Amino acid sequence: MSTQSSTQRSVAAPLSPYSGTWDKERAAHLLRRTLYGPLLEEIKTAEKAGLQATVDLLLKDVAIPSPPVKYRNDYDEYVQLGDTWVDKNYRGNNQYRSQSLKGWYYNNIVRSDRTNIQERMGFFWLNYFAISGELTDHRAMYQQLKLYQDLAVGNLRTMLQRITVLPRMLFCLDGHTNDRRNPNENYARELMELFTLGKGPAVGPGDYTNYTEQDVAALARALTGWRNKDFLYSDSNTPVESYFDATAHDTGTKQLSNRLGNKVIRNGGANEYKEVIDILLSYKASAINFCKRLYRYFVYYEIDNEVMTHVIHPLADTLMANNYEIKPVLRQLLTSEHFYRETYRGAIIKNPHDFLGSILRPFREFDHETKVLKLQRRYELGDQYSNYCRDLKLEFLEPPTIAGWKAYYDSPQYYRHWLSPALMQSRDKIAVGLLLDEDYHIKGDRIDINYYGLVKSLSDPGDIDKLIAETLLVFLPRPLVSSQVSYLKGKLSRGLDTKGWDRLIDQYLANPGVKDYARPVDDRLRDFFKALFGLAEFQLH
Amino acid sequence: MKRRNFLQAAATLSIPAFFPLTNTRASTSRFTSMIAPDSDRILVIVHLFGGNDGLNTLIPLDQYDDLKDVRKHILIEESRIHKLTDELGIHPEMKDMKNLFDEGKLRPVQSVGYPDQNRSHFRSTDIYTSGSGADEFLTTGWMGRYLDTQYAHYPVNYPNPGQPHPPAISIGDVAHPTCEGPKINFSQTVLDPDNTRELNAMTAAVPNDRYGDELSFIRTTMQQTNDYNGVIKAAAQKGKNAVTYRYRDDRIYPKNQYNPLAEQLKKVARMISGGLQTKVYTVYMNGFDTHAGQVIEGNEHQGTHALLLSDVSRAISDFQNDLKKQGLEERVLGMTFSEFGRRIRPNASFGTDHGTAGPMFLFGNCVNGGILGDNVKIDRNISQGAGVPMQFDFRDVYGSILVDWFNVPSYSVKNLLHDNFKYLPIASTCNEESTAETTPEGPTEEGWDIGNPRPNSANQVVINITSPGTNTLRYTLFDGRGRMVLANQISVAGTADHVLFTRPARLPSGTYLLRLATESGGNMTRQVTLN
Repeated sequence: MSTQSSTQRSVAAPLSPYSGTWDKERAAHLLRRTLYGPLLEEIKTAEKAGLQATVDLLLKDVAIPSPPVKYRNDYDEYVQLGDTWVDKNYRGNNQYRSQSLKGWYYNNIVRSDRTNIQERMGFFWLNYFAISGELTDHRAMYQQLKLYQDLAVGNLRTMLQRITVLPRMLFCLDGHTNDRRNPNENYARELMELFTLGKGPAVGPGDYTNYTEQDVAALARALTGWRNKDFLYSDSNTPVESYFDATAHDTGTKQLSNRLGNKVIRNGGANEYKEVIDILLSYKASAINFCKRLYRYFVYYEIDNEVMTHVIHPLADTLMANNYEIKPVLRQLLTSEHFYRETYRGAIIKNPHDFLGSILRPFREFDHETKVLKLQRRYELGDQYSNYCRDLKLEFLEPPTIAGWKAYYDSPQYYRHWLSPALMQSRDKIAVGLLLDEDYHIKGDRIDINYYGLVKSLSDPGDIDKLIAETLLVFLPRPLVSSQVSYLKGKLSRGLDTKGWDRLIDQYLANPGVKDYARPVDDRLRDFFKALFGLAEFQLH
Repeated sequence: MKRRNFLQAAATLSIPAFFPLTNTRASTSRFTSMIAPDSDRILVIVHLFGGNDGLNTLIPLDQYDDLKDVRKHILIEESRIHKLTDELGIHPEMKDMKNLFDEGKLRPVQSVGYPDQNRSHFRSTDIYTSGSGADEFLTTGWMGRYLDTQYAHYPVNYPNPGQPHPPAISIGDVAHPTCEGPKINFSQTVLDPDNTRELNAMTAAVPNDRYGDELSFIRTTMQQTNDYNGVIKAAAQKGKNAVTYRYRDDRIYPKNQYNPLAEQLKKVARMISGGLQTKVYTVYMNGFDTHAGQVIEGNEHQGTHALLLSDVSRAISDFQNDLKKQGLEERVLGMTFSEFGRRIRPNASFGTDHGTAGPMFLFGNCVNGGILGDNVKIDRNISQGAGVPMQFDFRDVYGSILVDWFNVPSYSVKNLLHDNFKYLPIASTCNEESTAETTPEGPTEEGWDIGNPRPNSANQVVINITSPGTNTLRYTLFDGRGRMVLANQISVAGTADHVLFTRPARLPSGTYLLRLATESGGNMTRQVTLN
């Protein structure tokens, strides 16, 4: 009897701490969902350190990357080569700033010098507050990206406060024209529908269960008065800032509907928006909405009743109990039984960032190409990555709509939106036809994958089967069937026997950079990885 | 001679109304082509990205004095402008398109735009490709929504014998947003049809869980990609170009430079020639964002804009000639669009800034002749920021293409585009019924005699055929809504009964249209009733 009830309890408590085997596969699963493509070294470290310590490491507050710089000698009177432009005057047509921002962002994605969730959370936020529409001053866009880094695993309340008066958001959802004489409901509506409560079923005219049209109108009034300094095409020293203009603010009393407890918002001037957010966050619907978004990003798209009851609700409780601190929620999710259920391992189709990162990061990108990747080429390479992702339908600064990318909300396709015959070909071309190509280059300078570095990091590369097994652990979410393994092995061995392979690798490792020894192994590895990255399995993580 | 639009007629009218025409074939002039006679009409969309300056493309000659006043630094000398009519001229570098106009194969539509035009390249491109209003955010493309009505549930179970070819093709690396469907983009990307990417759709057992589900989906997508690439490649190899696509004009460009737009249209023509039944092709040309150096000071007929328009004009003209020589002209309609026109007043850099309405061009053998729309009236006191006021909503142009070209009823157009849809006569000249194309039942001049198909008790459809010698006969079955449901070919010789097909269980009872096509391009239709 007691055994049975304890079994039932464990089945009914998917969020209880994971107590199963902790091995390289589980460690890799955790890292794949929190990093852009883990390195073998990171997987081994995580296995050794254990689940709790690894999650601690992933969630640790770390410094944010230094800001993007002027990387080429364009005319920009305020900025010297190598200095950042993010706080410098804007002349409206400094082309390099856009490429600098993109290059910087993508170089952060592929950087392999730290094991932390910050970058991948950055895209979570970019999708969560999917500020779309016209591109503005790049300083404003940097400000937005920096906010996502600063608060990557911070507090949702703080994030909402900052976002509500962020110049780009004010611009995107017309907050900057929201005026007591002419209230604009755009932001108030999305704030409730997407960023906090979520839109429930329409149960009456203008009644969406969690809020009503009356609330949209009332919150729009409460949010009046925020203005942007004219940062769009400014020749002056205008910084990218918003400010509160009391004369545009509606000082009247705002009556909320019964859905929001018939609360009344009285004039709070420049702080009134904080009260708005506090009210919205006092409802569990907001916490639930947020946790669903987290779940779809980190675990799986389908949220059935069981997941809703036993995963989302408890996570939402945790979020509220911790005053909307995000870390405890992520910790609970990433250390739960549910997260490690076999069925979810590898069940997410990689988004273009995941795809790019999972190709490059395990090789430590092109870090060894120090001769080529000086400042300018480094940025140009990052910019090239941003073009790849744009071609794969992820234009990071231009989400399709304020709701974000369809992959994270549009039923029933969800992640499948990332793939179509056309996009499959583009992915194959980027991975196999470009990045792995022998003649891959950035602006005419050739760079190549560091196969030597990878081989050297393996436990026993002289054993061809172990080499394959260890490599697959890094690059694929689940083991392959034996026919696939033989196919890949054929690419490596090209008929060599076990001994021959061992000898080849010995000489390879002993003679770094010597063409006669490097060539036969690099060529084989290139073929091997082209075949590996071409497999359907590689699209999953 | 105009081709009657059979399938679309079948899609709207009921099949019986359609069936006085029991033995139809195309005119002999088209028998030389190897096109699959049952492949449908094709739309080629030419996207001119950047915002084309309409007022220097189509120049209102009756406003010339006023234009001189407001556009003085960029207006082209009057004597250099080619006259389309006494009131409207076309850019000096667009001589070839002027010739198309004279032949009745070019239909300029003036001042196309939408209310509250957005002047952002990206947002306005979204609007133009999705077919939305200025304040609407649609995630599907206007063509994608139409194709969704023709390719139900796409991409699930495609390609299939009835619809073996991709619904749309985007030349280039990126599937064009115009073809974005509710689930997935309808277009295949083709950089080079001879050189497609073969994906590794290796099959292997998949686990019965969520990972397995996604893996199966990806494998299917990869297989689909390969299948489509296979038919694309086959069509390109079978197809040809009947004219040499010219290099860029070496009066204004260095010698021997490829015309990038012509190179794309050349591929399109080859695929059409090879019998690909793809309905929509998109091609793309960048560079129209002419803020600076649009014209050269003192030589306003030269400059960036002249270079661009020269490429456009030569490419479209070569494409049209290619189609003409191959007898394909009546199956293809072309359309250019740009996300906005530019301002009326130039800026100080011999360029123009983002404006509002601008012209579109329809081209092909079936366009209605003449110019659609009136010249813009130029006000000498116009503000610096003003664009050309809109005369036609771009969605009415799109919708009219759907009506004229794909025979979509107006009420459906309203659903696909907007409620205020107003039909514009754009490409209706091939839609008149032409009795010259029909011949009575009985043997043809070439010696073909096709009996009526007879379903037998074994669920087979049998047909008596007399063939002049040994031939391959292709057949296609369409349902009452004009959709292909089955296609195959048989070998025939002399007079004999042939089992065409065994009725698949998926075909419901009803009246179907059977079309039979010979290798030399002749085709005949017969009615089949499956009970």
